[in-house]
Amino acid sequence: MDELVAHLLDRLVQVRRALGWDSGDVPRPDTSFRDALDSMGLVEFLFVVAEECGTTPAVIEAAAGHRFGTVAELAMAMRAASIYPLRVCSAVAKTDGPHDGNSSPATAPTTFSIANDADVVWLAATAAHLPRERQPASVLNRALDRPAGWLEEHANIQERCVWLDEDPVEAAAASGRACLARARMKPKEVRLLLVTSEAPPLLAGLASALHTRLELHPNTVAFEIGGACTGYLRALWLARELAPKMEAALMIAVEAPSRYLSLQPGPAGEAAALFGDAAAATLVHRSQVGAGAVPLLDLLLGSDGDAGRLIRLERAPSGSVALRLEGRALASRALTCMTETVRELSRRNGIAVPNLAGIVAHGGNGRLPKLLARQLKLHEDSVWSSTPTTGNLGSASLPVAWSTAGRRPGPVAWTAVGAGLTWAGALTGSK
Amino acid sequence: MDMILLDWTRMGRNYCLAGAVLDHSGVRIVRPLSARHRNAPVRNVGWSAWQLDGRSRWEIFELLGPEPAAAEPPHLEDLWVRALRPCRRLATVEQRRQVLAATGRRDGEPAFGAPLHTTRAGAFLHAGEGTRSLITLVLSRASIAFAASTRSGMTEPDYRAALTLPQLGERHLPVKDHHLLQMAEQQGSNREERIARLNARLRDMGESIAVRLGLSRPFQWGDAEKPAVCWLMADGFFSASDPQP
Repeated sequence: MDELVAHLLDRLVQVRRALGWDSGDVPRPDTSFRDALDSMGLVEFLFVVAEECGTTPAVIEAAAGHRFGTVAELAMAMRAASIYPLRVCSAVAKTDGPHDGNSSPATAPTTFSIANDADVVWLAATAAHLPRERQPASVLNRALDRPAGWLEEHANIQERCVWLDEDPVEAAAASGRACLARARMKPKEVRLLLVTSEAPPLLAGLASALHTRLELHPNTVAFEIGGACTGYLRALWLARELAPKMEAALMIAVEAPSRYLSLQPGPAGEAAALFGDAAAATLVHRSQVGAGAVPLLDLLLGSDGDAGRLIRLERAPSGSVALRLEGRALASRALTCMTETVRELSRRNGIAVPNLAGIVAHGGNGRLPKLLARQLKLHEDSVWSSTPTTGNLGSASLPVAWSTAGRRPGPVAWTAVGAGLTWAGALTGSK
Repeated sequence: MDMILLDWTRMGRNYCLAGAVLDHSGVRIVRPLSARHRNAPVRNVGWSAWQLDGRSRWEIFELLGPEPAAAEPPHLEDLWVRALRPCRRLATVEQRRQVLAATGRRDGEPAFGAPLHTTRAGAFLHAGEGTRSLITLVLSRASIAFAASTRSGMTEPDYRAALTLPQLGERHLPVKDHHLLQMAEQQGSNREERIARLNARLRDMGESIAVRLGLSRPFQWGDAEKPAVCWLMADGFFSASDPQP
């Protein structure tokens, strides 16, 4: 029997058992959902399957045309939309051959990629600037009215960074200066400034403020890029596209979530506690400049607005901003996207995952990097993330992890997932 | 005894009704059941369409011959009645707000008198648990979204609402609000149009939505040794500030 059909039948039986509906009859590929499940049961079934596929029930429903006939028909619709449970992915790859370069098995509609040697640019240097102030988990647990050890156990966050009275804009500028110094470049040589942030210290004019503080040339183009936690890789995509013309692009990621999200008992406060403040900068150059330059070999971006509900910013009754995370579904989707992104980068560049020197990973929480290592069958030390000791640094998480990791020579995959839902990955080579 | 018709939900070809009785003790929710079916194998036979033709939510009915039904938690609101007699008047807007406010969640208590069990998408109580089967919850409109799918062979799509509920997070509940569904069916010719109509009607209700949540009658499929479950459902949606039929 087709492996995907068998998988769906297995999940159908599980859902029926869980809901106390197991009447002993064994469903078959031609079993209709009308006979097997009621409306609630079908929704349960969709959630189970969607979670395993790293997607949302809405994506599966859309693939099925919002009409559920038999199990075999659903499998056919999922296959046509390249939706597979992780467990089945590898088997599918073996039997069906590789997927096309523009999609990954468990992801969704709009994946974009570039992979062309002529486009290779260099990450000339990276520098991070972390706040002086650290908030230990014990302080956060008290603010959340949670018992001692709660945040450490649930999110593997031992402490987080917060700006307090430091100026995040100045910190961001400092990271830019340090980055330029490492690349032995002068501010006036920078032709493009890309600034990314999901919790910007200035709500408007951030790129211009940094342009001024860095004393860039007046004609240097400066603008801001969204993309939340994937903002750094989105900026990198743009820098790569523009590098042949602009030559030197400085990217700065700066985050100040502690200025917006308040710590308080309840889900919004607990989501806030996951995030930390930081700034980091990377210089992207058309040529190999600086002692530590590494080539950017490949880059892919993806988005799925249907999954945007997993991370939402809402206005709280008090008028402040509250972050809503759909914890389990989000973690599952993030893990799947990041895993599949690394696999996809490895596959199309002919590099086996175990041969990667490391993974620079965005850590939505401190547990995610370890889970990613487990999914990819890598040692924990091969996945680099600062989240356990800084909190989730949003768009700054990748450059901070990269600049603080004990790197090994060889190709490195970068991967992140952010609000939207967006995901992104990059592959860099040895210096 | 006069009852303000509050919940009018679909149950196959019939309707399930619930209403509010205003008396000296305040607001009391009742589920009128036709005494004609007192000896039927199941209690919830429902009210047929012809009996309700032309009637409306918030309309006041006289309950003829009311008699409390034996307790079957969580449906402790059950009341046998000989008939419903329309009084030909509607509850005032002030009374409607009073009913919605009085049927809200009680501080410090589980919403239905016992903690709900959850699955990935839904929530339920076992038959025998809980002390009430209907409540009102005021939610922000942004936390509500409608969706629907069709199981081939069924005449109607299964409509559901994603609701972010206190302590339970996002739940996906079957939508049983007859008026809302009827409006969508009349104004939309396909699934997409109907979902768009549902969401548009929600927008018209304002930022705060009073959602009537109810527990289904005990449902058992297959294993008779397991306790039957009463699913949490979305029975009604009203503007919290201006509750209209």
